[in-house]
Amino acid sequence: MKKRLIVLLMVVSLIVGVVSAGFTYFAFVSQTIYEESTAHLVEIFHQANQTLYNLVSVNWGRMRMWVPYLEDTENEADIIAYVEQAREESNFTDFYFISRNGDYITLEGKRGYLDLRKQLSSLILEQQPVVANSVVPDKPEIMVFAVPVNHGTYRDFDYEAIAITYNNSDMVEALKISAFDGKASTFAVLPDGRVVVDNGSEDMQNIYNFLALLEDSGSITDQEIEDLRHDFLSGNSGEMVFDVNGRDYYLVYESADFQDWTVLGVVPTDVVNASMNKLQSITITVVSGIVIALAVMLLLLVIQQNRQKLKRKDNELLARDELFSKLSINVDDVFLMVDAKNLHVEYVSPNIEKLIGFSEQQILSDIYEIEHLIRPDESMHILDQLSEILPGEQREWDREYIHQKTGKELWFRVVVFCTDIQGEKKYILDLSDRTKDKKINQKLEDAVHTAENANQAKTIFLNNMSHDIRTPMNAIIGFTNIAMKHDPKPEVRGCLEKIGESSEHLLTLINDVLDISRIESGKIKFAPIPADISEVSNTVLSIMYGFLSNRSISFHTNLEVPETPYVLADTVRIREVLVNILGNAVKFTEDGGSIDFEASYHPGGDDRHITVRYRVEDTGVGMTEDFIEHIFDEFSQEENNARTQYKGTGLGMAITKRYVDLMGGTISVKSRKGEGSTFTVELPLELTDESNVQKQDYSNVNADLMGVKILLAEDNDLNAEIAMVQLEELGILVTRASNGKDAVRIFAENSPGTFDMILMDIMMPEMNGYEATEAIRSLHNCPDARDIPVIAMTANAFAEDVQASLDAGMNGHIAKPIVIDEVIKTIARNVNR
Amino acid sequence: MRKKRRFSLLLTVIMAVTMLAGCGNQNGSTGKTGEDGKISISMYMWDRSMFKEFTPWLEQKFPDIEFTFIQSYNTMEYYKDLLARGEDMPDIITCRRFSLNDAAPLADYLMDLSQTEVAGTFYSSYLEVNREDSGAIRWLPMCAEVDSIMANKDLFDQYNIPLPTNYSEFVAAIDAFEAVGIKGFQTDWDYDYSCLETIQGCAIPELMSLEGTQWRMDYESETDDHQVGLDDTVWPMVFEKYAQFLKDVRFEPGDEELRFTPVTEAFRNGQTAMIRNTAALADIITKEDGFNSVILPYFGETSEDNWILTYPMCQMAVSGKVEEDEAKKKAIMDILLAVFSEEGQKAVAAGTSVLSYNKEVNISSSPALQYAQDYIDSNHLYMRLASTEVFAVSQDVAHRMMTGEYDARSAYEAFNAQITNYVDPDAEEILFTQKNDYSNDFGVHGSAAASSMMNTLRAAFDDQIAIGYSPVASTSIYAGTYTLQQAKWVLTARNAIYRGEYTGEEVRRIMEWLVNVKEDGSNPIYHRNLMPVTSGLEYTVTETERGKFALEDITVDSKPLDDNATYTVLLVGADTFLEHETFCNCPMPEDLKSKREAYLVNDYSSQECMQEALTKTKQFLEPTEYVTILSAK
Repeated sequence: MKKRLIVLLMVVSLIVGVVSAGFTYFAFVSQTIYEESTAHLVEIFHQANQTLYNLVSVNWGRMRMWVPYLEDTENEADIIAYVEQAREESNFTDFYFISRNGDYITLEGKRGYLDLRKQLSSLILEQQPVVANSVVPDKPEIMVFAVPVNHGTYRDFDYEAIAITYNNSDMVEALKISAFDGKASTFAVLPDGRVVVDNGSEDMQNIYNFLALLEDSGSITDQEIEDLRHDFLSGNSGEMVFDVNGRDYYLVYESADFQDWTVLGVVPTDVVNASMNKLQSITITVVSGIVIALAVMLLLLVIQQNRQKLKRKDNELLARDELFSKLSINVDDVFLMVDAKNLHVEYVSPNIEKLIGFSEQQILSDIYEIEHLIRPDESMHILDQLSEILPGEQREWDREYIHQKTGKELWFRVVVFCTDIQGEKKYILDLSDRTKDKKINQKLEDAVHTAENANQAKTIFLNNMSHDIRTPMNAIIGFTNIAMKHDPKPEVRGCLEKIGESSEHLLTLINDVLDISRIESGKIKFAPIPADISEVSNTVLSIMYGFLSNRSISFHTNLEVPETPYVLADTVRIREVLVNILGNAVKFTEDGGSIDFEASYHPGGDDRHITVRYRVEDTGVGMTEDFIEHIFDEFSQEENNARTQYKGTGLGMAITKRYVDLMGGTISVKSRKGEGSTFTVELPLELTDESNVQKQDYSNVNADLMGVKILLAEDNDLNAEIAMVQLEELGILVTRASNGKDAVRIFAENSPGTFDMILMDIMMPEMNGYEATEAIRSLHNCPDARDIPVIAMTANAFAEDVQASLDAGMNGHIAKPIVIDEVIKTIARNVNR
Repeated sequence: MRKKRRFSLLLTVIMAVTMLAGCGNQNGSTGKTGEDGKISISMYMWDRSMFKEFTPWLEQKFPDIEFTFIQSYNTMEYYKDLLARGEDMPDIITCRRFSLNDAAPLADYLMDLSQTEVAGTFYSSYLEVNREDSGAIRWLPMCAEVDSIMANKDLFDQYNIPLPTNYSEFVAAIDAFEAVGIKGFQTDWDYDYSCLETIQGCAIPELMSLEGTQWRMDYESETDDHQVGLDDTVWPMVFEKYAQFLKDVRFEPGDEELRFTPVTEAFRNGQTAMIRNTAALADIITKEDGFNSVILPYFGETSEDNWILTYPMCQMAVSGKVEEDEAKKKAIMDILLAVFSEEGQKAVAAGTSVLSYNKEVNISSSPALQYAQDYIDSNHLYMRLASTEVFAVSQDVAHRMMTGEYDARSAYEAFNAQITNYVDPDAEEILFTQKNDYSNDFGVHGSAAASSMMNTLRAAFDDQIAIGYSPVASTSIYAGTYTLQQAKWVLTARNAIYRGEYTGEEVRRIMEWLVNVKEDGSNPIYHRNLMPVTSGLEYTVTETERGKFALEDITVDSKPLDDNATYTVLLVGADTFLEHETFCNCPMPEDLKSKREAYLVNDYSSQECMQEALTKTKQFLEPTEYVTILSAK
């Protein structure tokens, strides 16, 4: 806009400049032409005036020359011959002898009266030559030139003067000028403007009074006319321009120097200035031509640029149209533009027929056709809601449409934009075919469902696997422990110990595989609970001492006492992380080596957090740099001899890394081959109040459980046997139920207090442990049904299994294969021993 | 000349009073814009003859101009009196009797026409005589009337008397006719113009001598401070020749009272061979009386000394006030150009023989001028010296010469004495003092001035009804003193006064003749102010369309006209123009015409009639609403 304004101002300035220059030039040239022309005219008419004056002078001179001859000649014929000769020389009209009273006689003897009025006395009495206008009725006005003579007689006519006359038309000849192609007028006028000699050109005919002509023309003021009259009267010369009937004339005037005549020269300015005007015209034409040419060029340039711009825009538009057209054809969207006033369709994309089965023409004729797309039972008409959409807003609807030709069901998303195009409100409708998306989404939903099913299956599989592997493992480990307690032979002990180690290894292997699977399937979640973080280190140390029991490794600890030890932490996971790292350190450090374990506490991101850093450094075998890069990968184990020496799953560090990540922490490792490794774990922990922290269970593993009555619900005979053997060894009275339903029945049939506790397997035929627990808890006629401790003892060892047990109304959870110490603690805790 | 000084003083006083008062009497004022947006122009025509063809031509030529034509008088004194009465100068005025010195007191009220186009259409030498010393030209001469000796050519032929070519032949012809009992030359010596023209006509060579023309130029440029008497070279000869002329034409005592009608009647009857009159009348007589009436010159010693006496039919001037109104000025300039064009001059001449002063105007010479043509061609055209005082003094001196009271010398001396101290006795004598003024403006009830005048005439002459053929008032009637001369100017000149006894039915027919549009379309009242003025009779007309009227009711003394009663009726007005084919072409029914008789004696002029009436009444009587003009619905 601003640019346009500047351009407009420049153009206006240019035009004003050109016009001003033109006017200045025109004024200058006009003034120059006026001055030149009038000077030229003055010269020309001065010559004409001079001719007139010469005529008068010559006439008087000649007439004076004739006088002596006429006075001396008596012969009439001689006089006639003489005068005729003089007539030829002077070209006068008539010759008169004038009497004292003004009567005349012509050469032919014709008499009459020549009215010279005042001039008669000048002529006769003052003996002065005179010029006078006179007239004879019904004849042209004549100019009389008379000179006095001594008394003479012609045909008995006494005369005292001779006169020659010119018709005014003859006088005109003297004033005639050859210039200007007959378009110049010459007049002799009296001071009052009355024309006495009229040499008017074609357009100046019948001018009787020149001042009246000027007055009638209205082109000059009364004062100017008065000045002109004064000039005529005073014999002054001058020049001016006047206008008659819209045509300009130059007027130059000067005294005729006889009588009181003034000679006027009048020429149309365009005639006088013809050549100058031509030059001026040519100049103006050339300059105008150049200016016009420049203007035209500029105009053309602008037009060209505009055209190019327009062409570019047209091309862009065409391209856009083409693009839009192609897009329209090839996309699954139908576009319509509708005038908001009358819902007249102004545009409909050509793919409409393909997409919904209506022709363009149908929709152009009546937009309400699109309402036929919906099912008859659909009452929500989009078009009725258009008026609610304001400019700049949009609204969307999902619609199920019926293709008008194929009858197929289609899913459309209808988006309506309201916009303002140059003051006119328009609706732009986008009918987007989402049928494919709908189908894909359907498939995706199906796939998700399938995946969820698969995941569920995997979980079930893992659970089943865990359960089904742990169950026999429980038997193996249990019977091995039982066998060891029966003081076997050394060879047998050796075998039992190897069975035990292998079982442990197998159990670890199974646990790791299950753990990594559960981590990957998202089953394991970070579950922070209020805890004393310093207790974690302590717990780990007790485990570490177990690892080091058969080794000659120097173990050093540097455990800092935290300022505020109460935090929200998943202590189980932290412990597992530290056990894994320390376990590896022990595993890969040869005897004679050393292991350092440090725990330190640092400020967190804010005063509500701290960071705990654990550092484990060993002087073990170390790792190559290549292996360090893959240490946290699953099943990564360095190819070395240690593989056979230190058996593992290759999942330990992977699980560790996952746990640290779960807890938002970091784990790093530095190692050199043959020199040892250093693992550093940093975990952010949120501080909490001490009151939230549950105290550690310090139940005595050596508690006396003699006489405790336990109902054992276990469908697996082997497991039941192992449990019963080991419990009964502790003096516990065990009643076995073979499934949940049996357990409920036994509990219900026995009087209150018959059992102190129920150990409940979960996966059992007839009624599983959860159901059985709920059934027991709901035995209203059994007073202790609600309070009797029910402990799950199951191969379902996962956390969610623990939670599920608690949710079912149980009081604790013991995972299979059972560790007898854990069982003792649990029983002791629940029966208050 | 004392009169001129008095008049100048009077005009000066009036001008001063008017200027101090800031207003003037608008009666008969110069033209205003008419009700229909037309430019109004008042035009005062010196004579009723101008209404014959000229005014109808003007109205036809300039339909967009609202003309008011007033019949005025032939003398400058009339206009001077208008100004003295406080009237504005009419837009265009005409005057027959003209001389520069007479016109000088009006110069300040008239426009200088020297720088106009129309002035340029004149031959210079004709216009130069009207140029003032200041260079101004205020009066434009209308075509020249030829006024010389009129001869009954047939009578000359009948008695085998040759037409004279010089003075001695002129005298011989008179003698020859006298010998056969026919009056050789006679004229209406009673009139001042006849005296003036015969005095000058018999001595034109002397008057046109170098000395004569020199004197005349001096005389016409005289001023109040520089009075010019007769010269002692030319004028004594003039009177000597005039005394001889009177003898040669066999002037007889009592002839000095001869007026137009008996002289022309005698000429028409072949009882007189030559009279003094105009080429126009010669044409009329030739046409009407069936013999060739021709114009001869005033004779000189030889034929080279013969001259034709001419004078402009009238002079035309324009009010100086016109210059204040550009539109009106332009309109008037257009009118003047038209008037002085060939077409206009022919309208003025009304078909009679005249000579033109203008270029490019060719008026073909009439048969009456066939024996004058040589003198015309040789420019032996004498323009009479026509100042008011010369008219008056010529009459007085000539009559005294005719009665033998003056010989040539004493006539010269008396003439010389009078023109240097001329006092018009009619302008001196106070006839009465008028109590009320009556406007001559024309309304739906006619002109109050005209009514007053007709009431005065009817009362003075004791007639039952007076009918003027048209408003015959030349001026309004003013309160104040009236001289004899002023009393004459109220009634238009050259109106015949008739008297007759008519029945009521005949009176009605007279009125119908004067008012109604005739079956052939002839219209006597194409202009409202041509409506008849009556006394003792009231009438109603309906203007059926603009400029056309129909007579309705007539009452006499407020009672319906009794068709069977007989009334004495005074008829005032020149029926010539009603009967003239170009004016109206409405001849008075012969039975009505035959019942009228010229009042008192022949040629008892209307002015004298008015004068006599006023001598009796000593007052212009109260006007009455003699007409009611209704507009057709």
